[in-house]
Amino acid sequence: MQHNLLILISLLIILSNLFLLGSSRTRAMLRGIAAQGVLLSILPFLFPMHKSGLVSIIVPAVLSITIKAILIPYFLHRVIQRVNTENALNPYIGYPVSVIIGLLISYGSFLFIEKLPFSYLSISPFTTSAAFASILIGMLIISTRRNVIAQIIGYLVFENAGFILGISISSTMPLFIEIGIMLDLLAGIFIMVVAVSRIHILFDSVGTQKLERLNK
Amino acid sequence: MILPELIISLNVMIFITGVIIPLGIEKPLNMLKLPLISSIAAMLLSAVYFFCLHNSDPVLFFGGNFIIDKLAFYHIMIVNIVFLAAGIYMQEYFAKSMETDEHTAFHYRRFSMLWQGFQLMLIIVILSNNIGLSWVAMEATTILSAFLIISESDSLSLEAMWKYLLICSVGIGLAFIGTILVAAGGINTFSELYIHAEELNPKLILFAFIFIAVGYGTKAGLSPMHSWLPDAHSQAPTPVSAVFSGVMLNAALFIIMRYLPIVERAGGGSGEAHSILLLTGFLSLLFAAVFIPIQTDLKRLLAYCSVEHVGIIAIGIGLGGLGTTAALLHCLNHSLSKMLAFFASGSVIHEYGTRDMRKITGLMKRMPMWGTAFMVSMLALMGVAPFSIFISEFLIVKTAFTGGQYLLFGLFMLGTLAIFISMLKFTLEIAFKQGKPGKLTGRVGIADKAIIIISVAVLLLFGLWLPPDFFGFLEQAAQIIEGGLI
Amino acid sequence: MIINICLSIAAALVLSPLLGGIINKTKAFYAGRKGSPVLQLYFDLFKLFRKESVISTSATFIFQAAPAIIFTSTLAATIFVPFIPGLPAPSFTCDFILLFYLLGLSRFFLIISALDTGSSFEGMGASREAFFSALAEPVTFVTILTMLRLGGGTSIQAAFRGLSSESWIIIILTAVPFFIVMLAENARIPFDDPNTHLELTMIHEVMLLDNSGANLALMEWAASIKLWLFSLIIVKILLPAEILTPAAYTGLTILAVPAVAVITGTVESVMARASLLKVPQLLFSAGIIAFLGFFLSLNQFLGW
Repeated sequence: MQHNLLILISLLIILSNLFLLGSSRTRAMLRGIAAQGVLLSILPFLFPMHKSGLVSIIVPAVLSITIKAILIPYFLHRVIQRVNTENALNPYIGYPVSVIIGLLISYGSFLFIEKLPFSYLSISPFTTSAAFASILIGMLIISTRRNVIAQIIGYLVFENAGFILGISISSTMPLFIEIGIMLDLLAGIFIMVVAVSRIHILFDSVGTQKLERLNK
Repeated sequence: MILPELIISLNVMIFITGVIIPLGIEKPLNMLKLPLISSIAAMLLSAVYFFCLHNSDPVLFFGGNFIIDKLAFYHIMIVNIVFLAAGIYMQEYFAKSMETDEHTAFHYRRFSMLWQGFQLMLIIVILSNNIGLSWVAMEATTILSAFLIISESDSLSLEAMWKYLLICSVGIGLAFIGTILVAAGGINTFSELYIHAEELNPKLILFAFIFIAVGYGTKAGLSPMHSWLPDAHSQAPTPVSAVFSGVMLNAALFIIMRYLPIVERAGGGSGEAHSILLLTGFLSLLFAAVFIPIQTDLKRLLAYCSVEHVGIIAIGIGLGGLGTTAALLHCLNHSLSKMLAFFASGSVIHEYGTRDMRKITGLMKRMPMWGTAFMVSMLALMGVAPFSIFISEFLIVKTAFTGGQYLLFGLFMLGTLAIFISMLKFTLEIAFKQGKPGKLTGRVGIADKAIIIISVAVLLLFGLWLPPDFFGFLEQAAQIIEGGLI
Repeated sequence: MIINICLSIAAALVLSPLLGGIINKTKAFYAGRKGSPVLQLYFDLFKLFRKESVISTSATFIFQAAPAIIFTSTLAATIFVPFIPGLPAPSFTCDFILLFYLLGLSRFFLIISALDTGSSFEGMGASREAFFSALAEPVTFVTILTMLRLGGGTSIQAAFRGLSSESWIIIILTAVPFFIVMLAENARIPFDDPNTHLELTMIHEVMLLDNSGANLALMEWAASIKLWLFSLIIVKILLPAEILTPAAYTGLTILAVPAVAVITGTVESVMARASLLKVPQLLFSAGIIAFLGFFLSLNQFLGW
């Protein structure tokens, strides 16, 4: 049951990644990333064997649902509302091609995980490969979307990969460090959102075309 | 022994107070005094840290999550020196820029708070023994320092800040993956990991180290992930550029140095981790050699020069043996000379009103004091003989040559020579080319004079005569990276 | 084998018009209406067969021959999907290609008969039909290939193993895109609205505009047989054959095919017809899910 749930959640994470790659509007991406946040907060309950006691399961779950599924999407929602005029992503690589690349990346990460010496760790290869796929897909979004909000969302996909990996590989970090990791993420996104509003005020645009003057 | 716990608590308290106090201050110049005061306090405390190092054993405290050993102490010293100097320089710098800019008190309050938070996080990075804590503190430095860059609020600095924030966050995110993979075995402190390194899976650890090297390497400005560095360094206010170059890059490299013995011991000394550092180091050198000749912006030139020197440090560590000691020496040398170069160029840019090197001419005649500082620091950065960078670079070259790695030796010589030629051309034109007549006012405060004189003296002293005690200290610190002490 | 073929054909002929009735009844239920009787399609067919065909003067023999060809080729395709397990059924290597190209043959004649009338509306419907089916076809084949990977055979019979504890996720990843393809192939919402009578937006219905009498009856019947065939394949993909006894399997199949119709009706009630530009996106998404399932079936990931 637990194994099957893990498989299901990993696949849903992969599908949400592909959805993010395929969506052409920042609002759609926001929905996708919020859904991914909800999926992530289920994960800690599926790895009870890695944790010592209920607190160490509840805290990451509660933190991830408040931060990844509520606070960060709320920040992004606010900033998207503010820069309402500009929703387009102007990608370097078109959406269908991105999705196909994302699909190949997901498959590649399954193949890749098989080769890694993980067998001595009791971890789920499904979540691990979903995590590795998320790393690359996050970077793909960051590097091919010429819109700062989309880049933030790409960064979130990338960060989620770290969270998945941290949960699925037995993490022995003290609790205060896990909380620190989450707060760092929250603060980072907050700073990025502030920066986006600055960029919008100064350039009257959230496309990155105007952010290409320092090149040499 | 309760002493280290006490000191670090005190250290943290100082900075927290320093972060809070600006909230109650109205006058911008007073706000900027606070970073200076807390730097002085931190400097004094680091003298006390030294007493914790009586015996050569490292001291663990706070449940093994923090550590003080010679390597950490050395880097703490570099952090404190550069921050102190930048704190002093900052006073004059902002006093001057306040005449032209119309920044509000809010702006300076934010700067003062973020600056001290930044310094605290760098100190925690260096004192941390927990791989997770190192990561948290490193990520915090990115977040805190992002808004330091746009202190001169214009479109270019905003662009630079965005690149810095995004690229470094991604880089640090990669380092997080690596950290998780290392912690997968259930151990999460550097010292324990080293002790149990032989029980770890060598392939997994090496795989993790690639993530760590790429991740923290991004923050350190190692090629090919250095693309944020020239932008951020050139657009930030000068004191920030100085601490970025002089401290932050070292701190990121420091974490890689901490991982290195673990990876090597897990892999049975196969040297693969060292090869990774050599590769990125030479790439950095190559990139710098290609990009330095085409620069026109003075601070951008210095930024690419940082890429070069970080690359040299990585090469030194990658070579191992004497190279590691030389690399550690190079950390201090580079921090001092780059700091001085940034200070000088900051003043020069302010007086000339331009950062275009083609328009800055006749510096030695027009601004003798800062001109001398500029000349000396640039010559030092090029690796000219009487200065200490020459010694550290020479030791690295010697390691490569005596180790029989002639290809690396040749590449290193070629890279540094190319950079030497183009930097020399820029420096000579700036310093001596016939410019407009007449001196620029360029008031040089007594404190600034002290910074210039002391840094130049240290650079010269270490270049002419390296105190054997100091060298012995460095060798012991290098032992930690080489594996053997912890 | 003869018994099974006869059974398949008989079931398709007799039961298929029921599905359209169930779908309409479901939609009526969601809309709060009483709706037409479940057997409405039977009455319609019966009425149409008694009527005389009127044929456009501009139409050629293709238009007259098409209904018979469409009907027979669709009916012939059903014999590869046996109704009762255990009995021998026609099967050979890659018979699924024949199955789907028999359907392709019927589509081809549907399209050229629509073009044959010379009506611009029908030409437009034909072009859309060709476009959407070209997008749907790769998805169909990928899903079938995935099922064959799991079943370990080359005939479509091997694909019908049903859900099992170790491969359920792949089967879900196959059934969902296949269901979407079914909606597209059978001109259901969100791809086409079978109830609309605005020629500009219709796809399937518009191609039948010039047919009447027995010709129209054959066309409608063929369409419902096609719907029956796809529903049956979905059911067989999902029902675990190995655990169930043949009797239980047959009984469940008879219950499950109307259930697919009910689901289709539900989908049609909760969704609106997608704009024509969205249709390729929908089919593309289905293809991506299908490919994900296919990739997962390539390696033994599930043994982990």
